[in-house]
Amino acid sequence: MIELKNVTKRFGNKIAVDSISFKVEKGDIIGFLGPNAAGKTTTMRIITGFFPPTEGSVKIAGYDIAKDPLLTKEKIGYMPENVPLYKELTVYSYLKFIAEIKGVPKSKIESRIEKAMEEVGITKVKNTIIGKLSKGFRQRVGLAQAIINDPEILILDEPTVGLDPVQIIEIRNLIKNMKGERTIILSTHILPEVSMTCDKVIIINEGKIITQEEVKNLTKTSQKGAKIYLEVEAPKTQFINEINKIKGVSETQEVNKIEEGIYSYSLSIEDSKNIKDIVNKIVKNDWGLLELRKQQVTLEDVFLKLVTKEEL
Amino acid sequence: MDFQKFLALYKKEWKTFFSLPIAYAILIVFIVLSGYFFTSIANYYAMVSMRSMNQYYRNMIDLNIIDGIFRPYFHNMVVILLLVIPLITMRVFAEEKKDGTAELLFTYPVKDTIIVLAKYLVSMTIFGLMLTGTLSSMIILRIITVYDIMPVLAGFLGLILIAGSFIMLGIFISSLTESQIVAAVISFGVLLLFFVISWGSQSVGPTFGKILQELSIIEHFDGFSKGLIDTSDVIYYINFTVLFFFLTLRILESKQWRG
Repeated sequence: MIELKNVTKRFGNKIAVDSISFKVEKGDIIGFLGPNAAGKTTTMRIITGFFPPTEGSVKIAGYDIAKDPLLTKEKIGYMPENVPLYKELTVYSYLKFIAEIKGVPKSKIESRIEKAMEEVGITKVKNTIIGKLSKGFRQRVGLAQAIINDPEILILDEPTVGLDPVQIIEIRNLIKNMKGERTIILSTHILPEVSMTCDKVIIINEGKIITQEEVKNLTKTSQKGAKIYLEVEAPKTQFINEINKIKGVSETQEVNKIEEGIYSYSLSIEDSKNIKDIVNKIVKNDWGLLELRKQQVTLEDVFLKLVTKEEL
Repeated sequence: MDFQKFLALYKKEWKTFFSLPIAYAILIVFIVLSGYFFTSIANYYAMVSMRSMNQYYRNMIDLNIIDGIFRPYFHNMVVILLLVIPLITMRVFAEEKKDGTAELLFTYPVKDTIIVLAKYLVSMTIFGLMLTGTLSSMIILRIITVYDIMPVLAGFLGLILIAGSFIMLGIFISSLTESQIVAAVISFGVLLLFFVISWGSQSVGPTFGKILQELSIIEHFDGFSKGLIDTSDVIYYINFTVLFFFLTLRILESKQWRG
């Protein structure tokens, strides 16, 4: 559906996007993940045809954006980061303008506006002037303008930025519901957003793609073994010595002193079965086990690891 | 399809302009000022006419209403337009750029030519509305006295052509910056320069002097104000407008805008 080949964008001497290539299949939701100023917005602007790449080519549904800009633009719905809207217009007249300029046939304009407003839940503010809407509603209007011509591709730049937690959940649900026929690329620097809404993730940093993988695999593959957290009432050095003797425990670290004689530890183990050995050892030595839990490797860890190139 | 898009843009520009208080300020200032100019010029003309009935003044002044009222009036109108049109055009692209709406606008499936054309024609319509507001003075004068309509229409044609040039230049300047104030100041400055450029023509030698005179945006207007339509004057204004139309398109395509 979307195909980027060696796309580079330079602003003067500064390279914003450095020879990136990726493919997005029909129906995918792709998370575009990266720290601020990683090149996410630049890449999105290139795909939407806002500006051309310095080098490389972009194909949308088989059409080159440089050769058929009007055709490819018709297939894309775009919501920029700060959701720029014409504040003087009412929601309805704004959406009507967008529908007309996007070339929705005259007979379908009314029904498309109704449908888009319903989909994002702004029907009741239809006659309100956009400038008077709250940030959450403006975000929805932004989504509505993106989907008004029922595009095959949606490109959403930081769709939940600046919203309160309730609104964030609502917008995420809206995006999830749009899944199916549509191909969606959304950018974010918030990690849980990706694991919650996306199928695949592309991690980008300093203009380069670091990794692109399915979200499930990403947390799995970088998770060599597991980490567990322990709170134990035991003499510290003796405990560490004993635990390290167990086969499969690779690393024991003291995390915190809770109170006199009670410490918390972080252990790396190769297999979940090792937990049994650890518990057995604690019971045998008559130490007090106060807490034991498995630590999930989060996308956060993966991200930090990939971006900073540190070992997990 | 292109026409639907053009119409959508046209309507949007129109609605946003008239949602701003500046729209009404501009309209009122223009109509009041032009009305005042017209009245005072007509009064002066009436006074001169009265005196010319006196034996002593007879044959000293060649009186006619076109030269006596309309010519100075149209010249004054151009000066008001010089001040007012930068205020209409300053927001055209600068605002879209500053608010970020340009980012969306240029990702819609619409040609740049249509965007510029729609914005130009909306500004022209606003000017047309202003001009209609001045008609009352003409009608009142027509009731009081008889004058030939055709030369006055030529003057109006001149005003429309010169305003079209001012507007296109203003839109071009607006596409260069994010700041409306900067756009207005520079548009005014450049227009004024085109206005006074012929003043130096006396002192720079015959060839260069002639060039400066031909460049002057007001030299080409004098014929219209007298009721004469000269094709070369018409072509000057059309060329001026078309030149800045294409320069605007170039700016929109350029990196400076979208980078």
